[in-house]
Parts: sequence; C-alpha cells; structure tokens
Amino acid sequence: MNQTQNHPRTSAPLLGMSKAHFARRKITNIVMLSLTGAATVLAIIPLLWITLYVTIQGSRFLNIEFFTQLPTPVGVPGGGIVNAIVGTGLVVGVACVIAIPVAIIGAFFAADYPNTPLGLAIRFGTDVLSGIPSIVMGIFAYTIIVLPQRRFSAFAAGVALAIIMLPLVLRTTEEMLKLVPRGLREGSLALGASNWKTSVQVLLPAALNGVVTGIMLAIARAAGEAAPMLFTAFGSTGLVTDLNESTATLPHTIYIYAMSPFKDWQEKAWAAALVLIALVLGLNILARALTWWRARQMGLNY
Amino acid sequence: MLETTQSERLGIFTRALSGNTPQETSADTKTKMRVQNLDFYYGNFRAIAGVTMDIPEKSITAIIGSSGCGKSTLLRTFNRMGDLVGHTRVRGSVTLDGENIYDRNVDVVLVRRRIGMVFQRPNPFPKSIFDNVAYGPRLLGVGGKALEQIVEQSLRDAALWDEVKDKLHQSGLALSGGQQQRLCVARTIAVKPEVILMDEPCSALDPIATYKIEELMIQLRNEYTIVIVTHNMQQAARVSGLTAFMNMNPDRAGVLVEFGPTTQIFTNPAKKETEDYITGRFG
Repeated sequence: MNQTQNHPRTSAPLLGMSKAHFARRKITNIVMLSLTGAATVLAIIPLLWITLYVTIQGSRFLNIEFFTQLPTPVGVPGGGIVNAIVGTGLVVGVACVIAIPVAIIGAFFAADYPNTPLGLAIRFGTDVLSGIPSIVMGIFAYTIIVLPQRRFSAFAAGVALAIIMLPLVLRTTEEMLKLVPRGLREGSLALGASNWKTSVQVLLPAALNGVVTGIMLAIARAAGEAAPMLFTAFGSTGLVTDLNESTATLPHTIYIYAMSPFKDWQEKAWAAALVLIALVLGLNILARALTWWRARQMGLNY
Repeated sequence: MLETTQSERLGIFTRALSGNTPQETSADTKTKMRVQNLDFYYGNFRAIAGVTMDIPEKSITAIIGSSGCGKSTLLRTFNRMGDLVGHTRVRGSVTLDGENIYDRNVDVVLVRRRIGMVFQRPNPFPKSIFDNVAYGPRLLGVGGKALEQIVEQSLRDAALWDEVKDKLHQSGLALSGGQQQRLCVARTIAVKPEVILMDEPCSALDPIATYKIEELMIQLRNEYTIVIVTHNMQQAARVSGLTAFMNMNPDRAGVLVEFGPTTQIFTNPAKKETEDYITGRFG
C-alpha cells in the first residue's frame, strides 16, 4: 500500500520504447500465445476424439453382464469378457512381479554409479530395449518359453510384458532418484547408514511419487499391448487363473472381435475397447491422485 | 596510523572473544583426531596440500579461510564424505583415536557412525520430526520406549523440544530454516557420535537462528568434539577454542597457514597472511 503511494506510477514512456514498438510487441505476443494455445488444443484433440468415439460406440453394449459373464458363441446374445479382464490382470500381475523389483534395484545402481561400466551399460541397454517393437518381445517369449514348454501360457505373456515394462520403470525410477537432493543422501550416510539403507529408507521414499507414476504408466502401456499376446497368451474362451494355461486378454480380445465378420462380436470389440481405455485412464488418474495425496502427507510443495 | 586502524579492526574480534569462554586447553587434553600430511585430489587437481593438525577432544575447532580454499573439502575428508564424489584420492592420514580412517580394512559406515556431520543447507529427510531423529538410532536397532527417550533427549539437547513436542508427527520440512538445522543437529546427536563436523551450519540462517545454533554448540562442546567450517570470523571467535586458517596456494591447492588457540589467531597472529585475512586485507 505505502509503497505505491511513495512511488507513484509515472506515465512517461520508457527509454527507446516508441508507440509502434510497443504495439508490435503486443501483437507478437498475441500471435505467439494463439499459436501455442492452438498447438495445445491440437494435441488434446486425438485423446478427446478417441475417448469420445469409443465411449459412444462402446457404451451402447456395456452392461453388468459384460463384466461378469464368459463370452457366448457367435449369434448367442448376452455374454461378456470376464475372461479377458481377469486374463489381463493375471498377465500384467506376472509382468509387475518380474519387472518392478529388477527395474527399481537396477535404477538404484544406475543412479548411484552412473559412470561405471555397468551403470553405463544399464542406461544404454534400457534405452535400446525401450525402442524394440513389442512384437519382438512376443516372439522372444514365444521362443524361450512357449516353444520349449509346448504350450501358450499366461506366464509367457507376463514375461513379454515384463520386458516391455522394465526399461520404462527403470528409467523413470533412475531419473526420479537423480532428482532427490544430494544433501538427503549425504545426510543419511553421515548418520552411518549404508548405501543400501540410504537407498531404501531415504531415496526411495523421496522419489516414490515419480516411481509410482512410472509404474502406473508402464502398467497402462503393457496392459494395452496386443502384439505380444498373439504369441504368448494366445486366447481362451474360459476363465483362466492358472499361469500355465493360455488365457484371453483385453487387447487380444479386441483384436479377434474387431477382425471378425460378425456384427455382435464387432460391437463387443467396441465395448472391450472402452473397458481397456477406462482401465488405462483410471490407472493414470490413480497415479496422479497418489502423487498428490503423498505430497500433501509429507508437507511437500510439488 | 596503520597500526591504529588494524587494532580497531581487531577490536571486533576482541569483543567477540570477550563473549567466548575459552575452555582450558591444558597440555593433558587428549587429541581426538590427528591429521597428518593430508593431500586430497579431485582427479589430477590437488585441492588440499599437506595439512597437518591435531584436533583436541571435547572442544570446538574452527576452520576459517576465503571461499574456495578447501575448508569444506578438508572437513569432508574427516568422515570420508569426499569418497562420495568420483575420482578422488587421499594421501596422508586422518586418525580417530589413533586409528587411520583411511586404512584399507576400515568400514566407512562405522567411521561415519562415530563422526557425524551437519551440513550447510538444513537437510531434514522428508519424514516426520520424530522419524528424522529416530532414523539413526533405528539403524542401530533401537526401538520402542528406548527410542522415544532418545528422540526426546536429542531434541532437548538440540534446544528444539519445546518448539516441536506437540507436533512430532508433522513433516520435518514444515519447520523454519533455523528449526530444521537444529533438527539436523538433534538427528546427528541421536546416534551419539564422538565427533560432530559442521560445514557452515549457519550460512543459510538468520542472525537469531545463528545465535541459537552457536549457543547449542557451546553446550555441546562439553560432550562432543566439534569441528566447524565457517565464513563468519566473528562466529569462529565467539565459539571456538582453536582456529585454523586456510589459504590457497598459487596452484589453487588449499594449505593450512596457521593453527592455534583462537585468542592468539585473532589478536596476535604469527603469520602476515592470517593477519591480512582477519583484518580484511588480502594479498
């Protein structure tokens, strides 16, 4: 209050700032702002469009039965895709159990010893791995698990998805660990904590928000993969809980139903696609909510 | 003329020193840590050259000197924090109770349990106040009632208990800067180290918080051996029994110029370099 009274605004033009100059700057500002705004809108359009379209197409055939019933043969009304939902959960669960511990422990090493040969190898390896098409992971799991065992299995599918998740979780975790202030690490070590204790009790909790977000996004990515499923989970019409059996999964079911010539299967493909999108969206929202909640808990402002 | 100005300048320290109640450093004071011919290298760059000093037990030893002369680097060699930066090398020895902490078969974790550290920027863990202090004792397997007692005692010793006793389960990050630094001191003394290293512990704090930390140090020196690096010469004059003055060689290696009782360093320094520094005249 007082300050503005003591320093009244002068209307004198600033040095070298002509009216034309000022107008031009204002226009440039408006143009650039419109451009960035337009680009942002363009970037959101595909998401909104796909979500809206699938919701409209899929919701017509969505009901409770769809989540609780097994599929019916072509032409028989009703039925659901409970086998694919359970199958996806099973396969992704296996992938998480395999990938997350390896990824997080590997990330600790890469973050703690970035310039050692092994640290460099981890970083380079995961970067290459994340660029390999998912169908290759499918063929790989097919070759090392399905062929020797002579059967398609949920386990093989889990392994394929684990390889897809591994680089995603490892790199996000590593980046998050690197963001933890060095002082926290030193503070812990100065108290006589070992590297391992420091990692688990200080660094991981401090980086947990990012790590959880990374895991959720990797799960969302893995849950949507159809290509590796063709070689591994293969598909099934029954409800499967045995890891050694072939099982239906959501993306694979969508693929089979959408490609079929039967109208009721195509309709079910839309509904299944809606379920898959809702699952992925739900995981993303959950990741955000967890992050926000934990930040509040810790009294952190980020 | 010059003499007068200089003595006037030194007057600041005389006043600061009058607040200091130096401990009797008698001949039988035990040496806690002994630094001998210590060289420290970052890669090929020698950051510390030939430092030799004896740090007496249960006293405050201050290290002063201009920015970049290697004070912090020297301090960080005392609990092997320098190891954390890659490509570092140490020559010479640092002994704790006669044992070389750089010996091949010394466990660095055990060294750091005996030599704690308080850092320049307060660095509480993103955990509750209680968990911050309990962190060290828990590493040693302390739990239950005993842990609660240690936490309370440590917070009392760090003069923080009354301010936080009703909110022990709030985040340590919610405290003010000065409180955070005292929390870090509490966290350090909770594991009962023998030596506490302080790396410019007040440089991020306001004068009142600084005063509180200094009071705390004076209390703690009865039980702990404290080594403090500080930019603030008056702080060194106020709290320390011994003062070490470091400077940079032309090759940018940090050397120990003079080391002796604080009163002597500030009132009657033996070296011209020391006198120039504390009277504010360089080079």
